[in-house]
Amino acid sequence: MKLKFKEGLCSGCRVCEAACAMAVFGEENPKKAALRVRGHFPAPGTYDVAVCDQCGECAEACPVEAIKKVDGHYEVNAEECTGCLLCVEACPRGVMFTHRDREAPFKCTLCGTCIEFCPRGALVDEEAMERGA
Amino acid sequence: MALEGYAGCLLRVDPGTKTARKDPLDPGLAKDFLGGRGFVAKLLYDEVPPGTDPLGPENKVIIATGPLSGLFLPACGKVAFGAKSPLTGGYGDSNMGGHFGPEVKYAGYDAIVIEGASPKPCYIFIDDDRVEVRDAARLWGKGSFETEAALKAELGEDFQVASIGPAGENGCLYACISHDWGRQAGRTGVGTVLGAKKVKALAVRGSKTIRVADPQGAFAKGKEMFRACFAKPGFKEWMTQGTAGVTDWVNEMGAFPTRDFSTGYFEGHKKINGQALLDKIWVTHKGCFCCPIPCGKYSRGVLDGKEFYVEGPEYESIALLGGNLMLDDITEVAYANHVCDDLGIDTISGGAVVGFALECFERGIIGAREVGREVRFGDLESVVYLLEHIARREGIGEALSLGVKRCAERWGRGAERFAPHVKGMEFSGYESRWAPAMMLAYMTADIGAHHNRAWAITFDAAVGRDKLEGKAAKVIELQHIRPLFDALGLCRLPWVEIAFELQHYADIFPLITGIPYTWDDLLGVSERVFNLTRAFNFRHVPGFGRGFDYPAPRFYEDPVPSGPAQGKVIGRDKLDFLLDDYYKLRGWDEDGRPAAKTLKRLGLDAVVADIGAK
Amino acid sequence: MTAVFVVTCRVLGHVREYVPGNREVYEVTLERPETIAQIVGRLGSDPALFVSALIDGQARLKDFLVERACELVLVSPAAGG
Repeated sequence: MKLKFKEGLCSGCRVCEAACAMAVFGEENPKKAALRVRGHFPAPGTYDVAVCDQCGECAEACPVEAIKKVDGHYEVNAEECTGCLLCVEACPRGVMFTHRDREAPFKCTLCGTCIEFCPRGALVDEEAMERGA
Repeated sequence: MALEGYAGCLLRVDPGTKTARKDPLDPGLAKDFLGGRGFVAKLLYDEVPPGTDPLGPENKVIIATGPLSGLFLPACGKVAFGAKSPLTGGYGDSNMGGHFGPEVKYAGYDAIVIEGASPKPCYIFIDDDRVEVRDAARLWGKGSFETEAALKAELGEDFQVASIGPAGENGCLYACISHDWGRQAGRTGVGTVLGAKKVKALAVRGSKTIRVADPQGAFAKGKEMFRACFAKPGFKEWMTQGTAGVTDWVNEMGAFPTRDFSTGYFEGHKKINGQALLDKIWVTHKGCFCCPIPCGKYSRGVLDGKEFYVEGPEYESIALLGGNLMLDDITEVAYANHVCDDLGIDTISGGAVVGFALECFERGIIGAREVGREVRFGDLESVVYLLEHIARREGIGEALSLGVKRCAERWGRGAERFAPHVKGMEFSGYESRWAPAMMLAYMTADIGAHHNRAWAITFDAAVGRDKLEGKAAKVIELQHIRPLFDALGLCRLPWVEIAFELQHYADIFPLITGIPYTWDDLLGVSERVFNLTRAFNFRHVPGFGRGFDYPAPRFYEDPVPSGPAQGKVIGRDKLDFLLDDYYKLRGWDEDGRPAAKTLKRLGLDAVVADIGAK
Repeated sequence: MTAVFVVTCRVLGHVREYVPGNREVYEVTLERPETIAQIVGRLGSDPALFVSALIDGQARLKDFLVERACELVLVSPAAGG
């Protein structure tokens, strides 16, 4: 699975954020989503979605090796995390998230829920598309 | 009883004393009034006494989310704003989309009550538990776009902003509240009341989880609801033009407000329809929180070499700023829309007032000396000139800022014969002289001539436009269903546009709140609220009664002069018939006063004595 | 030789209530080409009630002649903001 944002389709509805938090944490709280919709207003008047492309910079930055690659995605081990937040700083896309409820930062684990529920088709699995799925 | 689905807290803010108080949300209030418009109605009824000056410190602005706002389910971004209306003197509320309502809930509040008044411009800052009344001197005077940009730049892009423009600051009686670069709480002058309290804006950020009764069940049901939307035929297509897509159809019905509601068909409608919008100015399909069918059309236009942006124009603005003012160019209509949004003027009342002014000018009721120049239909310059004067309340704008009813009373000379309003609030976008159910809907909406409560033109067309029987029953049915969305914190458009089944909402309600209401229970709340706001009007509007349910004589004496509805009008005797039928079915007396029996059935026993119900 | 063809009609939105049967999907069998307006008449409804129509996802006017099997989506009017 390769999560990708397609330009020009996002309506800013944030169903992806709401769905993500429900899928990962079981909570009604878009502030716990592992992706973020960003609006550019008043000009040019478009949206984009910051998504994790599993580049691994966070894992490299982690001084205690609390971030590891599992099944094609990078994951934070909350128990080993010391809360230094170097991974947040290192993330080139600003998609390592923190929330006051949680000691460890969290990130996208490629569950694909956002892809399924984006009403506009703005989030896609690029690998599936290439396979012609 | 721990409330689920709700944030569980009512926030009161006094911008004068700069104090905030947090009270637990009364479970009884939630059970009997749900939220949103229900909370607005109940809190205003209980806390704003008859005789209160709408622009005085005793009036209150209520901002209320619903139990279904901010959750993982389709189209749950709506929030209700309300106050005693300075435009009508009666009950006022207005619904707004975007992302403001959900943010209020994430901050931990179901509703915010703004009471008192500040001596100096201020804005209300909310960041979870932190609530502050902050100085807004540097924002006062700015348009809504500049205000939103300034607050987001200072506080962060993740703050949701709702603000008033110069129109609300200066006391235009139909000033709106703006949010998210193009959403408004437009009607009844709620922006005016904020302005009277010198509250320029609210900026809200929240991080809290909304606790629900059955999180797994809610997730499963939410998924089912989204999938059901996606599976609807034409799901993708209907929203390409948004509500602008109905422009041609309303003209074909002969119901398009044209030239100050003098007729129902506009020759230039194809130049200001949804296709024109897409072809000439559209930039982005813009949606409210969790909406799968984004109706917002964010647009960019260029006029005289200058670019401007606006979310719109949507149908109402096309009707009231386009046909009603005879502007037959979509870029010009969009620009007039942009001017209204930036100044903070409701496009519906604003368009109706400007149209009224242009007709009065044509008839010589007002002249170039009072207006300051020649003005005419079909001229964007005239329109912008009048809107700017309205926002500043300068020159002719001083009178126009009071609305068509007061202008007509002030000017006389026959103006009262055609002033387009009911109860003092201007008509929205449907010329209804050949649509009895729609006319009745306008006559009986609690806030004045607005279609939010009941929209019945297809019903009129389907069962017979000349028929009167059965129309009142349909209007009442719609007046319970449509405002129920306003109480739940939801948008009704998925139901209206893609026939998204109402049962879905009934199914998810107990999963969220734990309250085992059926759809009929929910409709019962809606009926309770409708009677409560009627009672509010009886208490607050001197002499209120049947006489306030009629439009001006043009609308029941003058046949439509042109277009598909040519020659049609519903005479006064027929309006009487419709109203009598309506009152009877509602359980109201011949003056439209809710009967004691009706009030008691709805659990509004205290109201009986309040309004002398028999 | 007439070739019979089936038009699958989907009624989108609240105007469903005013189509006999109040269903979302209807199948209309035609022996010769007919306009969208005529097909709506066959459903027992009034074409004026619908704001627009789509043939296989493409917007068409109500006098468009339907000549082969397809999906016809009938769209209800919105009620502005």
